[in-house]
Amino acid sequence: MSIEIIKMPGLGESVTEASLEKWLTAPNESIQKYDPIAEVMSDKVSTEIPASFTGVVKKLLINEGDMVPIGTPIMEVEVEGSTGKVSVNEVEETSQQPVATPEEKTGKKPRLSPVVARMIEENNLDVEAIQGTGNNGRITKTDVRKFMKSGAKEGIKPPTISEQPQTERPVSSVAKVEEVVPAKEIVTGDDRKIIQKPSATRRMIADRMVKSTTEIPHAWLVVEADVTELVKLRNQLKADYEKENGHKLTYFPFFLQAVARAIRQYPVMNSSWQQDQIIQYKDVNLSIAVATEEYLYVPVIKQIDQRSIAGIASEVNRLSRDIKQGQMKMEDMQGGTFTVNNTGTFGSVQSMGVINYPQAAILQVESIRKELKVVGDNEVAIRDVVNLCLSIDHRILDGLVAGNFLKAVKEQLEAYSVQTSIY
Amino acid sequence: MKELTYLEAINQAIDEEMARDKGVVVFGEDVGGDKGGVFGATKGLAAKYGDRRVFNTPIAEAEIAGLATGLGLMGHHAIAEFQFADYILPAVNQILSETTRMRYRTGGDWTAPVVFRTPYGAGVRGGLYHSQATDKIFLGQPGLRVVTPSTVYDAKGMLKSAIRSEDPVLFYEHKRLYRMIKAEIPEEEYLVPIDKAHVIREGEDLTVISYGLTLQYVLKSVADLAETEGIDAEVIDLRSLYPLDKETLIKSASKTGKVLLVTEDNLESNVMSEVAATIAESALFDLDAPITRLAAPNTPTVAYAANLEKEFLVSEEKVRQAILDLAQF
Repeated sequence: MSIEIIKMPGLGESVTEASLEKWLTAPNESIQKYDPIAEVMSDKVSTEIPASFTGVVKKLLINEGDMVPIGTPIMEVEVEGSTGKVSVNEVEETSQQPVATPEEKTGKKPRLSPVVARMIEENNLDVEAIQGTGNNGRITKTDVRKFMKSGAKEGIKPPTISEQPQTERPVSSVAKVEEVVPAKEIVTGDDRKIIQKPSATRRMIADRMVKSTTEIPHAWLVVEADVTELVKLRNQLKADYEKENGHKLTYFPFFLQAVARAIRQYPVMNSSWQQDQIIQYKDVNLSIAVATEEYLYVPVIKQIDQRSIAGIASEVNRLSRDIKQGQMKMEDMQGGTFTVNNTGTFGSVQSMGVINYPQAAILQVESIRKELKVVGDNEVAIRDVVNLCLSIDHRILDGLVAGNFLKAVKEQLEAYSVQTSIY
Repeated sequence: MKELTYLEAINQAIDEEMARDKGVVVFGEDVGGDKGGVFGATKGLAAKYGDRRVFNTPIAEAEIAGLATGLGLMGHHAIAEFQFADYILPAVNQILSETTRMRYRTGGDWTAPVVFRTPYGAGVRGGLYHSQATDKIFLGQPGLRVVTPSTVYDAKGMLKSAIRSEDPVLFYEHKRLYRMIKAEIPEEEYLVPIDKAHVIREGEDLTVISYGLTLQYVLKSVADLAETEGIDAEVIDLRSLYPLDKETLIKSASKTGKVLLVTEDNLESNVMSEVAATIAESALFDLDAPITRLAAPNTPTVAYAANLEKEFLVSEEKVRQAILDLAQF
């Protein structure tokens, strides 16, 4: 018998943390390898994670609703007939320390180079207290030297919550109690207000919004496009289209295509500022905003510039259906390079979008409305017009290129006519 | 002080030793007469010391080695040249079975003090027969010293020491360095030991051990990375390929804890394999990273095609990246 640790698994590129939404097993339960053990949520996608071992659940190391970095130990499993020489007690001692400080440590017992192991032993240092600067946070010899120079010798291992048995935990701190309350549950309240802990998704949205608005210097531009011909085209097609495809033909796919083509003309729009590098993507992967009652999701249509209007329409339909049924897939939520937000569906005529971090721009497509317009020199006509509101990362994009890009979108939209094929 | 090339330093060393000791003779393919060797290492010596002390041999490497060994036994200090290190193979039996074992076989009564000089190394579009580093054949053969200078100063000082040594010495000269590097060296006489590695640059962060052409890349990269990345690397010129100067190598590895070994030879079983084993044996508990080797791929030898030769050889870029990777490990 030995104790094995199951960690928060990698959940895809650039996903660094995830919240454990729900345990699907409990201490003392038997589990088979690959059995689902928990529901986790990351980057707005929830998924089940499988057991890495067959055995008996010994201990759950994470409370439901907790956000932990990828790689954090989340569960101890007692495994039959393992060759591991580590005794139960030793594993508990070493595995518990990181649990209390999941933000700082991945929970993995660090692998030490011979010299670092020797220096730590000889000087009786606390390995947990040393900040690693090597690859993957490895503690280097230099790190140990610096640590010793800083006078922080004989680092004392910090006391941790989980070192105390669950039943004996003193309820001395309200903050601690709050931490273990699952997401969404009402914590306190009186007649005049309701106080809730934000759910994992709401918290993730909040973090992203704060990150985007604090890191990215936003600038805004608005242009008006005349889409009278587009309206005619869509009205001509919509009945047949719905009969054939089982879903409605909206204006949105036309806007997406126009944006994709304009990005092809101005590829710098398809960029991202990341750690002092400007990355310009070759694939045009448009994030589209899909709202549910609770949240706003941004699934991605990959390589959208290679799709027809009908192809885009069916992909939009698939993504919004998946989201409304709560079945969105991780791969559909990643890799976006530019976002188009259909704010027109709320009746909005003008808005200032927050950039979907770490992209460089977001385009808000407002509602199409009828207006009296001067046509030619001396005539007045009723035309269908729409506002296109663009937010840009002003570090990467200047007004000129953004203006040219918007002009290109406008021209694309105005070029649709009843002759346009959607296939 | 006078600025010399590596090749001129070799010539000057032989010249001075021939003037000092009448027992020193030079022979090999094309080394005599007006030609003075295909690279000109012995140019002018036949005119100065006569054809009886500087002479050509047939294209028969076993004979060159055997003659040198016999002369050594008779009290001469023969300097035998193999025109390219690739050509040494027919002489291996003489060198290993006779020259190298002489002292052991005679219970210390006899020795064959010979210097076998030979140009080695790639980077001159020499193709298969003119580019190889054959030193690994002779490493780990007790009784034989294998050395190679990497600087102009050492080229002269080490060759003079080799000529004066009572041990047989296989003296590899990097043919690319012949005219590539120049340096001012003292006019007065000096000797450089042939059994010591040389700490060229002291540093704290990591140790780079190399020799020959790749050492030039190491020195440039280290200087650059010190300035741009603040990496403080210690650089050691191995010089003595066999026996190794273990003390210097272990001391440096223990000090920095990170070791990069750079050679232009194939990765497998080159001299650095032995350096790595030595450090691992003696400095394990001072190491902060795996001992890292940078070398040519495990293909039979250097390609002739320019693009393939370039791909095969360790380059300055590769050295720089390897140092950076190790520093960040």
